[in-house]
Formats: sequence, C-alpha cells, structure tokens
Amino acid sequence: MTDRTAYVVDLPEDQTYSGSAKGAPDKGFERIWDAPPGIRYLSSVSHRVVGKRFLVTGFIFFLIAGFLALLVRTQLIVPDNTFLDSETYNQVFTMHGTIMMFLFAIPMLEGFAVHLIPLMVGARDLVFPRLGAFGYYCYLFGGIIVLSSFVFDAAPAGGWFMYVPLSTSAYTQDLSADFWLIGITFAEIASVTAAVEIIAAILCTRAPGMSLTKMPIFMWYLLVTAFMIAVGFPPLIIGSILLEAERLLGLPFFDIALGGDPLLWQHLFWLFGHPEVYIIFLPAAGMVATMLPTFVGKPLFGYGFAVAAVVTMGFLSFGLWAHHMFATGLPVMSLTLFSAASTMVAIPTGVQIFCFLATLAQGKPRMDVPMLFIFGFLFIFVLGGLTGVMVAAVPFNLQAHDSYFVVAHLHYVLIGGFVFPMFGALYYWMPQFTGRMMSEAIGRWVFWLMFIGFNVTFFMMHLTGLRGMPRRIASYPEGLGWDRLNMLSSIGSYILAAGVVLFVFDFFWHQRNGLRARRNPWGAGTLEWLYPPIPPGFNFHAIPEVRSREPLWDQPELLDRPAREVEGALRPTIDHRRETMGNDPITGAPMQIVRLPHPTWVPLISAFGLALGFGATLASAYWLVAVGFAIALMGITAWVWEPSDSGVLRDSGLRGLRLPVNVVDTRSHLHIAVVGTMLISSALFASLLFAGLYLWNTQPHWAETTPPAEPLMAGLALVASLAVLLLGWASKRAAFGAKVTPVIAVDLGLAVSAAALGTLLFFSIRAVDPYGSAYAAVGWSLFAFVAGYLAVMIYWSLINALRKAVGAVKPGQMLPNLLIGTFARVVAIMGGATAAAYLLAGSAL
Amino acid sequence: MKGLTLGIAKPVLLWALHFATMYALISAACAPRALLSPEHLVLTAVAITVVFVVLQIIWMWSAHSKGRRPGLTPDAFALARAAWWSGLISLIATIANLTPVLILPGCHG
Repeated sequence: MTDRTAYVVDLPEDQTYSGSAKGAPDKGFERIWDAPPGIRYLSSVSHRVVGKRFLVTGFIFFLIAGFLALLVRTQLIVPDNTFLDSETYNQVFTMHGTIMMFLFAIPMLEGFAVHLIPLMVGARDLVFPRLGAFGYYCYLFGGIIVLSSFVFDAAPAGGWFMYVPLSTSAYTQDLSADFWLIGITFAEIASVTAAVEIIAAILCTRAPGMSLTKMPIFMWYLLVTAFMIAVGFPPLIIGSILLEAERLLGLPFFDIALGGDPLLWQHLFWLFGHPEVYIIFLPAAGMVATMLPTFVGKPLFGYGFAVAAVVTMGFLSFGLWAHHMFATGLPVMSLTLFSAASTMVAIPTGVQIFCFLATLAQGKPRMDVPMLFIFGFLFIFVLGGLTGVMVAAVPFNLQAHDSYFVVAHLHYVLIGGFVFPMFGALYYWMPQFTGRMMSEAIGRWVFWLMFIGFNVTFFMMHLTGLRGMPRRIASYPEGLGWDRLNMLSSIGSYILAAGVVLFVFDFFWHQRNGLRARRNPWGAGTLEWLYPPIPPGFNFHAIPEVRSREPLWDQPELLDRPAREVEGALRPTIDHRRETMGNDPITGAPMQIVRLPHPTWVPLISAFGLALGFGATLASAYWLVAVGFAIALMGITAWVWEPSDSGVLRDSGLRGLRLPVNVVDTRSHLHIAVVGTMLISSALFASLLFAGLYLWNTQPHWAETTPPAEPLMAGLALVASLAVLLLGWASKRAAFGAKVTPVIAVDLGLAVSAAALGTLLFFSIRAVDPYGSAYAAVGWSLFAFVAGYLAVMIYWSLINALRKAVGAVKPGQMLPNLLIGTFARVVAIMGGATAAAYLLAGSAL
Repeated sequence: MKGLTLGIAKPVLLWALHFATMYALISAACAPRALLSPEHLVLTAVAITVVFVVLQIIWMWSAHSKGRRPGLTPDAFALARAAWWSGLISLIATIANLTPVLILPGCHG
C-alpha cells in the first residue's frame, strides 16, 4: 500500500531525538495515564473522560428535549387548549426537534464511540485525544448557544429544518434563526471531528492481529457511520453558512427576486437530513449486533451479510433526500427515482434484521434488561420501517405529507431505532462507567413503562394522521375525531416519561447500591470486558494479540489469568510516554508505535476562542469575533508546534519486534486523518458546486444575465492550481527523504503558489457583484471557500519551513510534509475546479 | 485482502455514481433549462445503465470466484461473501434507478 520506505533512525533504547522526550521520566506506567486532579481534570484528553462527558451532556439534552415534548403533548391533550400560546408552542416543538437531532442523538453515539472504540479494538486511547476533547467543547459551547436562546426570548420557532423563506430576515427578524444557525453549525464541528477520529482510530490502532474481518461488528457500523458523517454533514454546514450569510450580509442565495431558490435550502438540508437518520440508526444497530450474541451465547449470524448490508445502507441512504420534498413540485420522474431508492433501502435493512433474527434462532436468549430493550428495538423499528416503505410511495406520501402519520413514522424509526438500543446499551455497558450493575428489577419497570408509553403515544398518531390532523398545529377544534386519540397520545407520553425518570433514579441509586460488577459480567466475547470493571485508565497493561472476532470466547489465555498479566505489546514503557500500537488498516499487522498526548488545555482554549467568535457574531460585536478567532488560532498553533516523536525505532514488546514511532507512511493514522478531513472538505466544496449547478439549471435567466468572471485571470488560476498540485506531490516525495533543509524550498514554494492561486481567483471574480444575483453570490462563495483553504495551506507551509529552519525537524520526522502534500493536492483540485467553473460559467454554456 | 475489502465498497460506489448520473440526466431534461429532449434522456439513461449493470455483474462474478479459491482464509472468505452480497444489492438498486426513465412518459408523468 505504501509507495516507498520511510526513513527511520535506530537509536539505542536510552536515547531519543532531542526535544522528543516530552514524557514523564519521574512517573511509572500507571501514573503516566492518571487523569489530572482538581480543576486540571478539564484538561484531560483521555477517551474515557471525553466519552463520559459526551454521554452525560447528551443525556441531559435528552431530558431537556423530552421535557419540551411533554409540553407539546400537554398542549394537545384537549381541543382548543390554551396551555401554550402559538408562538411558544412553535418554539417548543422547534427546540424539541433541534435538541433531539443535533444535541442528543449524534453526541450520544459519539460518546459511545469515543468511550468504547479503544477498549474494543485494543488501544490505550483514541488516536487523536486532543481532537476528541476539542470536539466535545465545541459541542458543549454550541449547545449552550442554542439553549441560551430561551434566556434571550429568542428561541428558534421555524421548525428543526429552518425552511426558507420563513427563516430569512424578511420573515424572522429577531435573532432566533441566528441562534440556530450559529449554534448548530458550531456544534457540528464536534460531529465532523468525531468522524475523522473514528475513521483513524478504527483503521489504524487495532490490536495486533485484528484484521478488518476480526473487528467487532460494532466497529464496522461505526466506520460506515463516520464516513456518512464525513459526507452527510457538509451540505448542512454549507447550507447554514449560506443562510446565515444571507441574514447577516444580505447575500441573496435563497431570494427568488434575485435568482435564488428556497428549494435549494431544502435540497442542502435533506442531503444531510435523510442520511442523518441512518447516521443515528446504524450505531444503535451496531450496539444491538454486539449485545445480541452475548445474550444468545452464539456469534452473530452472517457477519459478512451484515457488513455488506451496512456498507450498502451507508451509500443508499444518500439517495433518499428528496423523498422529504415530494410535495414541493419536483418533476414526477425525479420523485420516482427517489421513491425507487427509498424502497431499495429496505433490502439492506431487511438483511440486517434477518441477521439479528437468525442469531436469536441459534439459541435461547437470556432475558436480561438489555435483551428486553433489543426486543423493543426489533418490534418498534420494524413497524417504523414498514411505514417507511409506505411513505416511500409517492401517492401515499402526498396524502400523508405533513400529517401526524409522518410524526408517528419518524418516532417509530428514531426512538425504536436509536433510543431503545441506547437504553439497552446503557444498561449493558454501565459497569464500564460506574463499576456497578444497574438494577434488573427497576430496569424491567423502565423497559415496560417506556415500551407501553411509547406505543400508546405514537401508534395513536398513525390514526390521527390518517384522520387528517396536520403536524405542528398548536391547537385543534373538537369534534374532528382527533380528541380521544390525542388524549391517549398525551397519556402515553407521560407513561414514557415515567420510564425515563425511573431510569434516572436507577442511575443514581445503583451508584451506591448496585452490585459490584465482576469481570466480564455478561459473559461477552469482546475485548472491552477483559478487565474487571472499571478498566484502568490505560485500558491494557499489554495490548493482547487477537486471533478471533470474539477473543474472550476463543482465546482462553485472556481470561485464565489476571488481566494485568495477559501478554502482549507495549508492556515496556521506554520513553515514559502515553503510547499505543499502530497497525496496517486492512490486515491489522503491527506497523508503528503511536505516541499520544498528555493532558493539555489547548483543546479547551481553542474551542473557547471559537465559541467567543461565534457567540460575538450574534451580538454583532465584530472586534470580539476577531479576538475569539485569534485565541483559537493561537491555541491551534500551540497544538501543532509540539516536538515531533517520529522516526525512532523502539521495541514493541512483541517477540523482539522493533517498530518506528509515528512512522512516515501513507497508512499512518495522521495521513488517514488528513484523507478523512479532505473527504469532508471535498463534500463541503461539492455542496457549493451543487448549489451553483442547481441555480444554473433552474434559473437560466439569472445565470445568463450575471456578468462572467475574468477569463484570463481564471485561466492563469488554472495554471497556478497545477503548480500547487505539483508542489504537493513534491512535498509528499520529500517527506520520505533524509535531507531536511532543502525541503524548506518546497514549503516556501507551496506557500507562494497558494498565495498566487488565491490572488488570481480573486481577480477572476472581482468584477462580479455578489449582491447582484444568487448565482454571483455562489461564485463568490466558491472563492471564499477555496481562499480559506489556501490560507490554511500558507500558514501550515510557513510553520513547516520555520520548524525546519530552527532545527525542530530531524531526518525521518517529515510527516507534516506528507500530510500537507495530500492536503495541497486536494486544495489544488478545488482551486482548479473553481477556476474551471468561472471559465465555463462565462462561456457560451 | 485490500482488493477484497475494496470489493465490498466498489459496487455501491458504482450505484452511487449511477444514481447521481440518473439524477443529473433527469434534472438536465426536466429543469427549465431543458438541456436534453425526452428521447435523448431515455437513450442516454439506458446506454449508461447497461454499462453499469455489466460492470456490476462482472464484479459479482469476480467476488464469487475469489470466494471459491482453494486455501482461502476465513477472513478472505467473509470479505468475498460480503462483496458478492454488496454486488447483488447494488445491481438491483442500479436497475431500480432506471425504472422512472423507462416507465414514465415524460418529466411530469
């Protein structure tokens, strides 16, 4: 897979490169991994700490959103109710949906992923602990921004989808939509950082011998989900930025009077919104696929089928977005295309469900509380899937559109597909967090209250919907046949809420009174149960070799002795650093030793700076915006300036195998992360291109009357992009060499060519008025987007050059050149595509 | 192993490409700009679909033969089986993408 051999230095064990010994020589192995005490706990970057933060914060948001749902149901319990006025009702249901989708579901799955991935794949921590901590703080601050809108009496009221033109300045003059757009965009940083982290962690830090097909099935689900986040979230991020730019700067992206199109927002939103459902469902299904074999006592039936189904679902789910737009007047042929894809997705979903059922058929399952929730999932989700096939049919969809039938369907899918598995997972993995078992007796009450409450609430909504009740209405007159059904739905919601409250009680109760969990309390086969709960902060004294998909079932040497005595890699801690094994992404063969950071304030400071910048935008305090972003830039610079550890060979502890530290290799975790980041960046860029193409195709008059870009400058920009491409390639080649100083010329060349490309693109579009038409505004957005990336490239290249000039880089430590080489080539393609788009837009086409 | 792993993703990538192409063709024919006539839409869509379907079938056959090689490790067998199933689902989905163009008389039904 790698194209050349990395340059490494075989130093004696007692020597390191100068500047790289940033470990803690005075501390033993266990103390190196200790979480810092007191206020410094906030500087912890350990996956165990960050994962718990995600889970606790996400659950608190769940409780808040659940409370808002109860307000909605109380308002609708009787006809003509005046419990909430219409405006408050709009705010309540908008915030309910927003919090559930953005601040609860995704962060909860991130919490499980962050906490469980290293334990399940045999790593001591996530591969980018600081990125995980940074993502968490972005999520927390973004959530606080969204929630604080209540304090300022400016809670969003336009629905969780923020449709235009309702959410434009003309119809929402207060700050409510800005709170939503800025807060959610900020919180989404956590999602995309988590995607990069999950991809790199699963592909690059598995235990020795854990090939892709020996990974726990949950890892396949998370891997596919992470790729979906990387491709699915960018359209919403771009849409949100365009809408905020329209509100803040007056750029007419969605203004029909200037060639904009409100449907463009719907396309961008649902390009995210529909895959989002699968992003939520897939990890939950992965949890089911992990728990089910434990309670049946047999391996998952059809591992290969399940993997194929998950991968195909990941792709097919992107072909469904317009089925949320069936009533918007799209051509019937388009509707049918999306209807076909929507129906098709039932096939891989069905394959997965049959894998679960076949696993159940292999034995008699133990009916512990997590298993009850799995049955709840199967029952509810299958019903939601069946109504999903119904609404995939265009004629039925047009009848049921915007009715309570759709509300019932989406809750059957999301609560059945995520909330029930999540509660099962909380019961199952709780010993990992608290060291104690939650109560079986209380758990059964929790399940039955939730199950009965859920079905009473939402099954009725199918009927209210079929009787014609529209969604989002604050009250209804009596005598339409909706009264009793709404009453029953509201009563059901209180029963459901009682189940959740009982769970919260059990959570606090079990921490004092729950039975202490023994080693592997459920008899599971996966690696996270190797240690008695709670596992130590470093996860593994030595990272065991894995030869099976269920190592605790098939490798007796793992459980026949105390966990700390299990043999494996990296038992010696030569450099007193936090480190874990790095592997070949496909085969799982050991490839490198990955050095991990110690606790640091940098993620918190960087996220705080960004939060200040985003928050100050709301207050129109632009000097504070600059201060915030300057703080973030300083934090990120401190982050990347750390002395490099790469290029030294060390004993891995595996039969004398010596491995390089942070090797310069295209299979390394950092390079995989850059590839993941560029996938996200490409999806962002593609979303902008889509916007331009969409407007060009649907608003031909405006495309033709918008003045063209300057063709000579655009042509020169195309040439400059070629220069960036070539220098990116040269930088990648140089990374594998032994000579450091000459590479400074490549770094400076990259900076100069990037500056030239940005300047030429600016002069290409300079004469076009961004306020003249939506089409022109998209042209400027393309420039601004590429210019942002070019600025990053210039900054990064100069730092690389400076580090070499001051002697901070030794031979074998030029991994940053490999990384920027890949980055530069993708940016060059984006820059070239922008220049080509300017040329084509100005031609006869 | 790398080839077998990519074999799972290849057929669905092809489906995604086919879906995007069909969407683009329908948009080209049915949006106000009307770049394609209905006849050209049908001809282009059918021709492209035939190519994609043939590719899908070749990949399925390839995954099938890889899965029957003697001395295959269980890991490789699991990957080959996953690739075959991924190919089958993608093949059906690719054909499904073409149906609107074939069965509807025009953009607006």
